[in-house]
Amino acid sequence: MTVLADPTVVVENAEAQRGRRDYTLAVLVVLIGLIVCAAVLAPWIAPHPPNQTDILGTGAGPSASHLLGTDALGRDIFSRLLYGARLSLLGPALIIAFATLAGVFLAISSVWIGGWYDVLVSRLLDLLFAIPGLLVAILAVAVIGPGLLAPVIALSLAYTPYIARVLRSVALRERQLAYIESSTLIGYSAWTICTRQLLPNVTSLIRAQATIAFGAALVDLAATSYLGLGVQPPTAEWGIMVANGQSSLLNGQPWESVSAGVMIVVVVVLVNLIGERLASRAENA
Amino acid sequence: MTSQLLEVDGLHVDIPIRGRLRSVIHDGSFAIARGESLGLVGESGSGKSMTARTIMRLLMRGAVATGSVRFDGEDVLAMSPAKLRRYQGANVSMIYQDPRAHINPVRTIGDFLLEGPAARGVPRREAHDRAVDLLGQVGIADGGRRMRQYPHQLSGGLLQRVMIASALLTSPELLLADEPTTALDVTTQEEVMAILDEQRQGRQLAMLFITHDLDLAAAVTDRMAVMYAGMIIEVGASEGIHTEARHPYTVGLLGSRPVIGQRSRIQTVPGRPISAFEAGSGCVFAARCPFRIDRCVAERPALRDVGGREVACHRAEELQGRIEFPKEALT
Amino acid sequence: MTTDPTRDQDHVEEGEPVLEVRDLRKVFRVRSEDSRGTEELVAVDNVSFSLHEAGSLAVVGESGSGKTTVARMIAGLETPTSGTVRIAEPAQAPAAGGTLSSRSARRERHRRIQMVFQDPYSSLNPQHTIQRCLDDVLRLHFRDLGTEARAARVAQLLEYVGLDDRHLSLRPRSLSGGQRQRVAIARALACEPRVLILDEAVSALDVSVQGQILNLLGDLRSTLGVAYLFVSHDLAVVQQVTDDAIVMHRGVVVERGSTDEVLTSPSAEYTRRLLDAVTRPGWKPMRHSLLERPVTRLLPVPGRAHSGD
Repeated sequence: MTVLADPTVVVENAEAQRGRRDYTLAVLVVLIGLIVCAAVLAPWIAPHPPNQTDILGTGAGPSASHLLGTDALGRDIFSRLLYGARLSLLGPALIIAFATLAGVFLAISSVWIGGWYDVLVSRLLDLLFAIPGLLVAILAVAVIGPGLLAPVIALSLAYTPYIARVLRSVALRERQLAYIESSTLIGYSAWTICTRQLLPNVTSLIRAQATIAFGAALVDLAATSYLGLGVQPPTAEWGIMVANGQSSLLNGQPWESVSAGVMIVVVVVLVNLIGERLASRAENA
Repeated sequence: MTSQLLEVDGLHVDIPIRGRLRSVIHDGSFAIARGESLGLVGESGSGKSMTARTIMRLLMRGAVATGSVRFDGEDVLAMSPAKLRRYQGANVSMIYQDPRAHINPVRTIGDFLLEGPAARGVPRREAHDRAVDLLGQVGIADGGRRMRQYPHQLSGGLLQRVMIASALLTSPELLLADEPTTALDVTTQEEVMAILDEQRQGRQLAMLFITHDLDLAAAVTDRMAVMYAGMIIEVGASEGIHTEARHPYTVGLLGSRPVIGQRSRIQTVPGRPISAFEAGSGCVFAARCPFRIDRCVAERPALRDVGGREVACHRAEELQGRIEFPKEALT
Repeated sequence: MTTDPTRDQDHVEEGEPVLEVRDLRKVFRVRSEDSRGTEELVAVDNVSFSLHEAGSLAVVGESGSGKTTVARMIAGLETPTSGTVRIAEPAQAPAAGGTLSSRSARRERHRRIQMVFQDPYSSLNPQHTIQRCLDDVLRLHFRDLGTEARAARVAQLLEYVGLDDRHLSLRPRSLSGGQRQRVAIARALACEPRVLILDEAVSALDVSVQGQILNLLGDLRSTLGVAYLFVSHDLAVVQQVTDDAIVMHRGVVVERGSTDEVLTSPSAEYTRRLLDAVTRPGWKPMRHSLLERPVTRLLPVPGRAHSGD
């Protein structure tokens, strides 16, 4: 008869497994969720069409029918804010999605392959990292033309190193651990080891980084629109609204710029807070 | 009564683990006389390292220690910062399992050794000479050269000797050695232990020697305390430990180790060693003890005198140390 | 695993050893003490030995002896500078049941030899349950085994190592060191290797748990007939699990023989020194003169952290 192992489970870890309830995180996620919902449901909840002008009612302050007033062309600011959320959130989402995919691929492949490949990729990422995202976006617009496409492409490239660098050092550490080596010994293919052994152990960190980068990408994208290089009028988008509302601001009607600006700040702060919490959870794991 | 150099009484220590305060030492009581060497033997979770840290008053933030730890009559846990500094700096010295974690890698060995004396105002020349002399005593012949080297240039064994020298430099009255040779090769361990023993006996230094190796403790200590799950379950003379042990855990531990020259199935203690907070309200060893009775699970036995040794076991007299663990584990 | 011309994986005849190592050598390039240039470190210097079916051989040594490098070269985790390693073909009819698919041929080398590592805390994937850990291995090597057959095999493997289905849904963080090593052993056995390398597999465990695992390893050898290559610095432990032993010191084999012979009447000075250092009832530490380095070794690397000084 073989010697039986002790069946009791290590207590302190069992409790940690059940997950510690993080109420703050839940609240933050709910808040962001509300904003996203509002953006998605914009066509149904917006009181007015975003591009409906009203020459007689320009520059009006908040009222019953126009919760935040109207802009210089008489369009309802509140509705434009809701519709604007769609682009302002979608853009960064696309950027981060691409940057994460590319970053994960580059980081894990460099950690696995090593050698000259690792050096090459690292130098490439350093190069990308060194050029400010906004600059690349401007250059892209100069080449491709204004609109959402150019900045999104450019910023996707610019944000890849943010994800890749952090991931690379963590992945490097994981790779030294015995379970990766024993996976090699058992006979799993390199692809299997990278995706099913290594990757799951770094996803918590990826989530955290991606979330934090989302906020930065949002600001950068809004900045390109603000500069008139990204989304073009008459499309509603927060960055454009900040720009458009500037003249009204000087005339004593801050509603357009301020509301759009506040939305940007709120979203970025929420996302950053969530990202920080995710990051500390990833570290403690 | 200050005849005992160190008196620990009713020590309870809780430390924060994953955000919650957990008990790791329960009702610790023992004493070390001047010049006496006491071994503290246990496995993981026994609380042995934490005991040493409590004596040094080097517990982590959030840890709570109650009970008394009296050094030369004075309660360490209640000492003022100035007295504590003197206590930690000169009266007591500690050597650790991993010397590299306790030496600044960007400063020389000499800087490390002379830091303490410099803080106490010892003239540099004198301190330097003393250090070189001590290095010689611990078997490092070219002390002067070594003092100019950096930690990474020394092997683990050499570095541990440097630690010993550093601990002795302050002429302490009590030395706490926390698994000082566990991380070393076995031949190096013998060498370092021989030096430590030599030095200790030569200076009539009191020592608390912490290890998981019963035989090692027996070799360099006068008395031994065995800890399990935060409790001291047996205390007695080191000399007779192999024949006189009374507590089932001690006997189990003695039998767990294969002996060279005898090839037979090992008598195993079923299960695994636990920490204080994982034990129930009865005897801490009850869950793994093949000799437990109902009383053991209901009532925690206190340390009491049984045939010249102190044992925390309800059945100590009855079992008389004639304990054989089953060769197969019990479920 | 990289293909290595010096690693001959041909079929080994019946009656021959399941593992044969000849003139194995590993030389590393390391930075020299003055940080100028590099020099050679001979970690393993012409080591040869063989292991027979269901045999158990200990490779004994301290840090810097080269024993772990030898084990890693045999496992294929490190390429030898020169020398050969031959391992017997795996059994054709898998104990797991089913038949081997042709794709399995590529995996075959992983069914000849497996390894259990020293650190139980990093040798299992923290994200995978024990169930997944073992199931994945079976899926990889025994492709046409159905779900039920796989589950049965997993249960059997757990039984072999003294665990049960309570442990299946747990992740490593809920298991103790001893339990994790049992899982690591089960995982290695799932591949049905001819040779199992145990690289200091019990060194990181508590003493009272070590004994359990040693008894377990002894039982497994008699039940399954797998051969052990047991790498360890601990002579007392080695005695429990092995029939034969070689002793290594700074890359060179200084002694070989049956474990009993080596432990009771060693001929090499180093082995005697090692034996003297083992703690036992009545042991006292003694100071010794400096040990001479084995003659055949090339330039030692100054400043490299060996714990033996």
